[in-house]
Amino acid sequence: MAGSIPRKLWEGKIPAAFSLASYEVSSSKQPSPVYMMLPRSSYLSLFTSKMVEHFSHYMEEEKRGEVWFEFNGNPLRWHYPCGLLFDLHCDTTSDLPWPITVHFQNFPQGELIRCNSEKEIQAHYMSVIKEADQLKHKGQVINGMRETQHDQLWHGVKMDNFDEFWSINKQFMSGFETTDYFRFIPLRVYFQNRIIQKLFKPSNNENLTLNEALTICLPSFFANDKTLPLKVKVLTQGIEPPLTCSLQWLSENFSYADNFLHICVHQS
Amino acid sequence: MDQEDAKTEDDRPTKVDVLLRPAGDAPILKKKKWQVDSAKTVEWVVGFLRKLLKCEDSDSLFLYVNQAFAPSPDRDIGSLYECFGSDEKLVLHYAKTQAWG
Repeated sequence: MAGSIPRKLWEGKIPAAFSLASYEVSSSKQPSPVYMMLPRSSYLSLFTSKMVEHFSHYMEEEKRGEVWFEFNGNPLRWHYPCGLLFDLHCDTTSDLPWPITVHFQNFPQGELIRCNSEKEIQAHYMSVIKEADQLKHKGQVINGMRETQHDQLWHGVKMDNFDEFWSINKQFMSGFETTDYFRFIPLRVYFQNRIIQKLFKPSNNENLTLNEALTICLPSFFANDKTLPLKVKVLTQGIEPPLTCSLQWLSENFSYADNFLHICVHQS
Repeated sequence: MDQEDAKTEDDRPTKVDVLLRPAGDAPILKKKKWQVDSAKTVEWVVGFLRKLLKCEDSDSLFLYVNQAFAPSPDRDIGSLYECFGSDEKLVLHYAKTQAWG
């Protein structure tokens, strides 16, 4: 059933150039950047070992601490999907390939969560998808799965294998109990360093739209007349969706691998 | 439209009643119900609990919502209450070993 949209979004990758922070280089030669195509539903910390492999011999071993990533002065939260980080921080007209700075020193304690192993990334991912299923189906779908199916979801994300992922993920796309709708839509709105998460019940209102959800989250910016306020840009999966989109449809088609809709609202 | 406008839409309570319940073999607290500032994060609650339970640095402490998932440390208590609160409180389970996933 997987419609063509989730597959297309999955395949829409972000070109990125990872460079070592110049003041952390202790060799006489500057290392070349690592170029990669980042899957939108992946996590930056999954590439840590690649960074260690490429950059570690350009610095003194005793100065090598936990790896973290930064763009334009902003420490990047590895626990957000890569696509969300790009939509939050970047401008597609000037920031491609996405220049990411890799750090091995001065971990920004308090700003970033530590990530010491892939197990932590997996645990974080599973927590988010469990929360999403609590909202969508009271947790009934995820609790009905075997552990090997949980592992397959993560393996599909990690290996960037859409078919492996979606063969399990499609179970999350059925309606709650006998309805055609999720119990609530897992949706987070990112606005001015804030994250707004509220309950949106599509069965109360079959035509619940993105505009209505944004009006509830940010009533001073959005109004129910369905027009986009001036100087405001709404972005998800790198796309500006029409505000008239049904929230249920968006949730089925535009959610990240963690089953959340991550919507960025930018003011210009 | 300035930032002040954007703030006024926040009509949620500034304090949330949080009920802390043990899971597994975690010790029971004498006082279970606490008022927590809705802007405080999960990380803050974990730190607060670690002090209450006199956890050693080496002890793990896990926090769960709906006995189902562990919210990320930077999640604010207000939004958890809004999505998962019931009977005017947010129930959080704590455990010294992983209890749910």
